[in-house]
Amino acid sequence: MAGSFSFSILSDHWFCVILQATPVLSWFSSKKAHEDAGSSGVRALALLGAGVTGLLSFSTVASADEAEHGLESPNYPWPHDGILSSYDHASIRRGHQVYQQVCASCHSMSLISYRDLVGVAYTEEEAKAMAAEIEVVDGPNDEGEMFTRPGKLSDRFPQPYANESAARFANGGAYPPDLSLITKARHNGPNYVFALLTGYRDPPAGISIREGLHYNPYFPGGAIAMPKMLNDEAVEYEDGVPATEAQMGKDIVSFLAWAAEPEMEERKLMGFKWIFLLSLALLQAAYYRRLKWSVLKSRKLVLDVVN
Amino acid sequence: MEYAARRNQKGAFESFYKLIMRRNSVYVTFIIAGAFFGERAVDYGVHKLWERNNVGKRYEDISVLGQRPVEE
Repeated sequence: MAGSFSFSILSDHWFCVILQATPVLSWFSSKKAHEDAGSSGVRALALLGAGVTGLLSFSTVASADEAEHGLESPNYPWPHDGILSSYDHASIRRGHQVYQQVCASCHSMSLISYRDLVGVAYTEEEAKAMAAEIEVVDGPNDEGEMFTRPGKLSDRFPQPYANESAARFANGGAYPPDLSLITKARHNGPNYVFALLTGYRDPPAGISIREGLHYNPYFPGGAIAMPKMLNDEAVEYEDGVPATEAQMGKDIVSFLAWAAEPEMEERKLMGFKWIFLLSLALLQAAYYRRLKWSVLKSRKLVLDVVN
Repeated sequence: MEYAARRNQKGAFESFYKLIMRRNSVYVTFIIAGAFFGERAVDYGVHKLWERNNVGKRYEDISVLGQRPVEE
């Protein structure tokens, strides 16, 4: 059975490979299959080239406008970039330390619980100890009164302000956004956050920023309410890594990227495994299809007309 | 039917067929057991690749694990 492929199948092989790659051109295979394989292949290639050129010409129209979107942030080589790259968990731990000591006074992270940190950056005992340091208001007791208790693993990160109005009032009308999903909520998130945090500089000549705002080219509009928070030695890392501005920026972004996408490592493992297995299944399916179709593809039709 | 007569009696595919595909019960058992153990093998392989690619970045590699974080 395996040896019964006809010559017409083999000569059409490359022709069919090109066509099956572009479903738009599938009508070619029905009409021109009996024509010279060479010219039809060239025609298919020409159409494909025209399509690619058209697609590429759109890219110039879509470039970002700096006045509207802020300066485009550079692409940094994050440790978690790549199809088989995990987070740097030591960096996540340091980043959480930076968040706690530098950012938590103004920014909430109300979707993250202490239990989320277990097995990612801290042991269970460490996380429990950290949770116990905060006071949490809990539901009515038997007497109907609300009471406060030390935090547990299941509690969310504490919020610095009671509500948005309080946050705005304490920050000159600007609301420090919740950081739970910030790297997913901003275009090119991790690169943007790092560039923003380390991108404070004096405004260029001719640009003046009003009192209370600060110049940051990466922030849309250029004037951001948050002052420069990352300064060398602002934090003393437990593992002794020197806490430079860039190091703290990298660590806080690792932490925020994990907070927004804790499932990333599982997703990458699953994706790699199943794309690999399904590619093998594709090869098997293609072989099986061609095996079953070989009977029809290798048949000979004879017109025996009697007038 | 000139092509059908040329058959390879001692090829790898022929031995595989004789061993696995003569009886459908054996074939099905092979497929199910093969899928189970094959997936275990692929999981093992992918995890090994993952760990080789991510040296030093795992949770277990954190140097200060177990020491309570110092509060400011």
